[in-house]
Amino acid sequence: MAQLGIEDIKKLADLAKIELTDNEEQEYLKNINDILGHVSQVEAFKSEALSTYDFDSQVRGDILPERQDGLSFGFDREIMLGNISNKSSDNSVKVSKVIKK
Amino acid sequence: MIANIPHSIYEAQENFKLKNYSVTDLVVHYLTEINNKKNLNAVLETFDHEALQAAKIADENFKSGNTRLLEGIPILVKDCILVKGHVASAGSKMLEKFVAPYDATVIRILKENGAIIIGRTNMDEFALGGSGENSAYGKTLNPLDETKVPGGSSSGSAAALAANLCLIALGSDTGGSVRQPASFCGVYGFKPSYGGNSRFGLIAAASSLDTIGVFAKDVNDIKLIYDIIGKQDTFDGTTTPDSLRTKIKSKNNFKKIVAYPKEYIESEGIDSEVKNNFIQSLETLKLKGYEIKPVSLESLKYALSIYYIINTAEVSTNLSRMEGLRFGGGDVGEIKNYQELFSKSRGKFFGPEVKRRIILGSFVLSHGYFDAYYGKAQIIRAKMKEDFANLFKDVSIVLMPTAPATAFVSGEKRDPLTLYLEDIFTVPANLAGVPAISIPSGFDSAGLPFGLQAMAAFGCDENLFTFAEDFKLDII
Repeated sequence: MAQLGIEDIKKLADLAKIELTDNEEQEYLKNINDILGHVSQVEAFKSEALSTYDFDSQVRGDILPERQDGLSFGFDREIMLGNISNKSSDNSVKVSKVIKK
Repeated sequence: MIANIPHSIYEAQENFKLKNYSVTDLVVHYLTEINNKKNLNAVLETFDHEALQAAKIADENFKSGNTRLLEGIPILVKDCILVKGHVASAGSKMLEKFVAPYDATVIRILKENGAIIIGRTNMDEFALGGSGENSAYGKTLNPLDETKVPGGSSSGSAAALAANLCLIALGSDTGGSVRQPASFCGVYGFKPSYGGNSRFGLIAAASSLDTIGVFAKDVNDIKLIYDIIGKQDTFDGTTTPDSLRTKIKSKNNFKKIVAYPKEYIESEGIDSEVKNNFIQSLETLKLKGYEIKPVSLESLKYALSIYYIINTAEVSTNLSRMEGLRFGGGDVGEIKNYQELFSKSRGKFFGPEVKRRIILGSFVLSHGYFDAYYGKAQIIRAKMKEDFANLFKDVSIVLMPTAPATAFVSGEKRDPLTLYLEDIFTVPANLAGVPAISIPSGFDSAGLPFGLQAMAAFGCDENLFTFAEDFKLDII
C-alpha cells in the first residue's frame, strides 16, 4: 500500500488548491501515512465475495425502483419564489447592481 | 424565568394551554439561558427578534385555539443548515459572512408547522470531526462535565439540548455526528434513512452519507418531528418518493427480534464499562421479551476504512466550491491570478482537519490509486448494504454501543487516526443508508452517559421509535 513522501503532499496540495505551510506539510505527511496504513486493510477484501450479489435487485429493485424516464415538473414555482430574498410586489426578482457607472 | 422547564413537546404545549407560561415566556427563558451559559460555546448566534415575533404569533394562536403541530416549540439548528437571512458558516471562517438566501426545506416545514428557530449552534468545521474541538469559533464544552468533549460534529446542538437551552435541536449526521454527541451528552439522537428527509439547504460534507437528524429528550418528540419533515422533496432528488415509503414499511413490521454483531463488539479499544453496559442492555431486553441473536457481519470490519476513503473523496469534491470567489474567502493580500486567490483563500480560511481530509480525498481519487482505494471501498460498501439487507429479513433491530467510550477529556485525543477510530460503531449506518438512533442507556462510574445504538432496515425508521420507547429508561 502507498506511503507518501513530502513531494506527494506538495503535489496533492497543489491539485487541491490549498496553500500549506512547511509545518502543515510535515504534519499532514505523518497523519495521512498513518491513515493510509489503517485503510490498507481494504486490500484483504476479496471481490469474489460479491459474485452472487445482484446489486439491482438487492439495493434498488425491491426498494427503490428506477424512476420513469420522462419529463416532469419537479419544482414548485410558488415555493421557489417564496425562497427568494429580495422580491418586489409583482414577484420580480431584485438583484444587486454589478456594474457601476 | 420558568421554574419547571418542559422536557417534551407535549409537556410544553400542555403548559401553554393551561397558561402556566406563555410561548414568549419560554422563548425568553431559553434566550436568557443561552446568554447565561455562554461559556459552553454551544450557540453561535440567537435570532432574538424573529423568535420573539414568532412567539407572539404562537401565543395568539393558543389564545384562539388555532394551533399547529409544533406551535411555539423553540428549536436550535446546526450551523450548516440554512435559515433564511442568517449566517450559516458551517463552523468555518471560510463562510463567516455567508448569509443564507433561503430556508432549508426542513426549516421551512418546521416553521410552517409553528416551530420557532431561536438560533444556530456550534459545530466541527464543515461537519468534519467527532469531538466538538474543530470549530473555527472555539470548542464546545460538555455541560455534564465541562472538562470533557460533547462529541461531534453536531457538538453545539447536543450540548445545548443537554444544558436545557432549547427543547429540540437539529444536527447533521454523516458518520455519527448526531448519534455520538447525543450519547456523550445523554440525550436521544436520530439519523433517518438516507433520503428519509430533504437535505436541500444543508451545506454538504459527503453527499452519499449526509442526513439531517434530530436531538430530543423524549423519543416521541423525534417521532413527531420526523412525521413532519420525513417527506419527499422536489428540491432534493435523493429523497425517497412518498409512494414507496408505505410499501417499504408494510414489508417490515416490527418484531421483537434484535441482533448484535458479536465480533464487532469484542473489537480492541472498546471500554470495558461500555461493553458491560451493552450486555446489561441486552439483559433488559430479554426481560422485556426480546429474542437476542448474536450474528457475524464480515463486511463490518472494513467499515471504518471504507468510510474514511469515501468520506474524504466526497468532502474533497464538495468543498472544491469553497475557493474564495463564489463561496467564502476574505482578505488574502496581494494575488497575481485566480489560482493564487483559490490557494491562499483555502490555505487561510480552512482549518487543519478540513485541509487534511481534502488532501487525503484528493489522493484516494487520484489517477493510479482510484481503483485501489475508492473503487474497492465502493465494492465493500455494496457488500455491506447486502449484509444489512439480508440481516433485516429476520430481525427488526441491530444493536451496538453508540461509541466505544464515554466522553473523553478535551484535548486528550490530538492524533486524527485515534479520533477516527471513535466512529467505529456509527459509520456502518451511514454506509448502508439505514436509520439509527442513540438511546440513553445509563451512566459510567464517572457519571458520564452511555448510548445504545439501534439500527433498522432502510425506510423503517418507525421501528426505531417503537424500540426506543420500549427500551426507555427513566434516566434523563
